[in-house]
Amino acid sequence: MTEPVEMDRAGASSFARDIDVFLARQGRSRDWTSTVRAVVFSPGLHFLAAHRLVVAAGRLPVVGRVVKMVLWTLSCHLFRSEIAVSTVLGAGCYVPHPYGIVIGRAVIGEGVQILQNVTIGAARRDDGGCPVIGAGVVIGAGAVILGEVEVGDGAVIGANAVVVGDVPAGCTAVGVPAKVIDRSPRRPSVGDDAPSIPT
Amino acid sequence: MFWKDDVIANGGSTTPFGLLRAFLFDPGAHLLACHRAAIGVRGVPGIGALLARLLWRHGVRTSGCHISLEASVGPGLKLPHPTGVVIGEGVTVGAGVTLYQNVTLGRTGDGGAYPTVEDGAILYSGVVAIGGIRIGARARVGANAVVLHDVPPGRTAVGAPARVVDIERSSR
Repeated sequence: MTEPVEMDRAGASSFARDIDVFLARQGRSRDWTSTVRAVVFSPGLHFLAAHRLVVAAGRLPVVGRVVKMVLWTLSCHLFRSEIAVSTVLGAGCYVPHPYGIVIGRAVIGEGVQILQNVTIGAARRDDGGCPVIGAGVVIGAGAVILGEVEVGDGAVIGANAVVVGDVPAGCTAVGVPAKVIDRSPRRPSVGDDAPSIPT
Repeated sequence: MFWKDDVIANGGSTTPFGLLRAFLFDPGAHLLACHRAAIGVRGVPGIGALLARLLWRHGVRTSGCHISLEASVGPGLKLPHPTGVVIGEGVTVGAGVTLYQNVTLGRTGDGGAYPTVEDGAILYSGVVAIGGIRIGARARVGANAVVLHDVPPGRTAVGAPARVVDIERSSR
């Protein structure tokens, strides 16, 4: 499941970006052995590979629906995390600890960092609105992002925050319900600013 | 046996094909089937205890949820995303309760009392309810709330520590 050979072009290139981000975060170079090592020993990369594979499998003719369902169920059991097939997950995602994560219908930008026990999704089943998360957002452990909200590029969501309103770009939001505490755009630090990560 | 209610609560059908489909592809129905089966086989003489332990272990391994076999779990428990759910051994869960991911129901310390969740209550993701408290029928508890006191029936509690708030109730 970790091998991206059967992925379509879009899924494979997204996964290649995921690997780059993991290598950058782990302080490794992009050489061949480091890449193999990261792919084999990073649970987060397995998780992302599984999601991209499920999405790609869904596009197969005739058997796509069944294969998608089987792979999705296996990935739920394997990682104890769920990502809906309809989730739009940008390239270069960083998931260091892929446990207890539930992501429903949502649009997630590039280079987003998602920690353990994070929940992202629509507030109601029938409601059309879903969260839109910008590039380079950092989502802390246990955070919940619900409903038709927009989280701007580079924003930081604190651990266990419950986000039910918009968070402007570059700001930090914490608490239940989440309040914006820091309106100054955060200073970029090494490997933290997703759009600058090698593409 | 509550398995039919469980399958219906988790969005499946009770036709033979529907049951098979729920067991294979619905993580919530799968976990509950393991839980109910583990309780069911406990009475089998000789191998019952071992079978129950294996079924329970399989449920824990595949879902990451720890639902004690000693807990009283009513029919039609809905687990939309069964991951990180912990239900302690003295907990009482009523009928038609919904528990989202990462919900913890437990006691405050060794020898403490366990909470009771009444019929139709909904606990959203990350809720921690500890101690001998009562979450009333059809009450709702918001995401990441820490519930340390009773929530009256039909009311909504949010925050850490949780407080009861007036939120216009939408039909569901």
